[in-house]
Amino acid sequence: MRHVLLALAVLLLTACETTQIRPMQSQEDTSNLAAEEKRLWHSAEELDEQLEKADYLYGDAELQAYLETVMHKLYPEYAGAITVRVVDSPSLNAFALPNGSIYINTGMLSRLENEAQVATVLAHEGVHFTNKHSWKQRRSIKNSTAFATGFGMVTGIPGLGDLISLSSIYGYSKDLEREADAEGFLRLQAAGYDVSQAPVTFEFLLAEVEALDIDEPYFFSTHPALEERINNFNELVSQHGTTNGYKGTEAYRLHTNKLQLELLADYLELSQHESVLLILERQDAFLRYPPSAWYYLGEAYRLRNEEGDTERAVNAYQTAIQLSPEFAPSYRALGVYYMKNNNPLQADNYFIKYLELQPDATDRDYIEYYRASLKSQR
Amino acid sequence: MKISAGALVLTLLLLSGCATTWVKVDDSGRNYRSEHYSVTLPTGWLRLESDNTLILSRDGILLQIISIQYRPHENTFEKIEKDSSVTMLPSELAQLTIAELKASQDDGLPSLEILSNTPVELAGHTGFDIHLRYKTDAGLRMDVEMRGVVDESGFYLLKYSAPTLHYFERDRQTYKTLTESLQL
Repeated sequence: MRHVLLALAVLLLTACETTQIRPMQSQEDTSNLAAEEKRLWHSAEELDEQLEKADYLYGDAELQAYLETVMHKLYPEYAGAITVRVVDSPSLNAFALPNGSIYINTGMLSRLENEAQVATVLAHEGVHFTNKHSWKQRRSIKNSTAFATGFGMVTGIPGLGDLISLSSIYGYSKDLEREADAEGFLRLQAAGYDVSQAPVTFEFLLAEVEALDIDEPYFFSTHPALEERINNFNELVSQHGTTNGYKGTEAYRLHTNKLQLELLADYLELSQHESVLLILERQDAFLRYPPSAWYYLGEAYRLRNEEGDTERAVNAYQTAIQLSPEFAPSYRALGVYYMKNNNPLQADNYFIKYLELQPDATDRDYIEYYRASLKSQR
Repeated sequence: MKISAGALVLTLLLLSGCATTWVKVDDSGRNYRSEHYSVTLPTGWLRLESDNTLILSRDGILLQIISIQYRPHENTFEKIEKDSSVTMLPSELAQLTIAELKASQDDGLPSLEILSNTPVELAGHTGFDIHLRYKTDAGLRMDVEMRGVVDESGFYLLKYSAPTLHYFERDRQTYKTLTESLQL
């Protein structure tokens, strides 16, 4: 971890002279770097290696290939120069390194609904790379008082979470973010995507930032800035018009279904039931999620444990069983519910069904123990 | 995902509140009694006592550490903002304990592997016994065993952590013997 932080510090600290920084025009420009920029790239490459070694990446080669295909549609002249990697993190974030490595978190991917929305994010991050925003921004960081705070935060708290946050916090100024939004929008349009999805991407996230009271400046920035960006995108849509372009809902679902369910489980493992409720209480959630997601909704209610949540949880488990009768965890959940409500017979029936469907369950010992204690109650 | 063993230990020490000094456990000090529990300590080990946590080590906290912690039911799991209760099932307690552990690291501990998670008898109550593994900053594999139980008063967590290679198995039985001596 220390190496990762050192690499980040180098990325932040390296000074560069105030020569005019021109955007790149194509993949060929990546081989004509100034000495200072080469050092920056080298640091970014070291960071790439550290991220990989630290087991931070979500190992789904097909998903990565899909995202790189989307990126290629957006930036065809940069073939091979931009890579997209998925970070295994439930937080809402995406960031670009100066060498063309784009990272997007599983948390972010799980919130998006179609390819046009993920293309919005990737197009935005791609501009940070092609227009050399890291290089431009680092100069202003070096000269700003905020830098001291940021550097102290990084060195004081050794965690890659900070690194990722910092990439967003200090990566780019408001002006550069606007530039990335505007140019990213044009890329989106040129690639034939449905540009009306661009503001929708941000609207979903604004709702989450508000509901969860998130105040960290993630990819989508802080609350007021987020609203401003939605307005900017709506203005861009009204200026350029919608194109009836490609939305890519089915393709996106096909590549992210597994990840989305895993994320629900991850949130519950971290006791972050609010995130699960925000995702699954959306009106159209079950158009995107398989019926087994009803179980996760039930678990989120159980963990929240507010008035009426027990009934909501039981209803959700029952719906899961009705719609997805082979999904074992719903039976276990109802078994636990009936055991706690002094109905040993019903509880045991559900536990039996659970173990029948999942004989190698990792919690088998607990269930056997519960069954034995139920016997003594009967 | 990797975490720093030093940071983890430091966190443990900071969490333990008003740390005093290390005291060597001799025959006369084996029977330890706090307000909420009593336990038989291994002789020759060093102990450090604080408000609600007892820390033990033989060769140094980076090589092996046993901690015993009592937490009242209210806000038992501070990081995930959850209470415990006497009616909680051992599997529910285990789930919250793992969530709390993950939440205590800013990266969420994605390298964490749960090797086993089973019920266990502790001080006449049924609790949980979790064995897990993670990687430190330097790539060192650490094993952790946690046993926890609730009673009317609160939640008790007994944790043993040591490098996977050599140390963990060497002192594991000492930890088990200690947990078996727990009385609430």
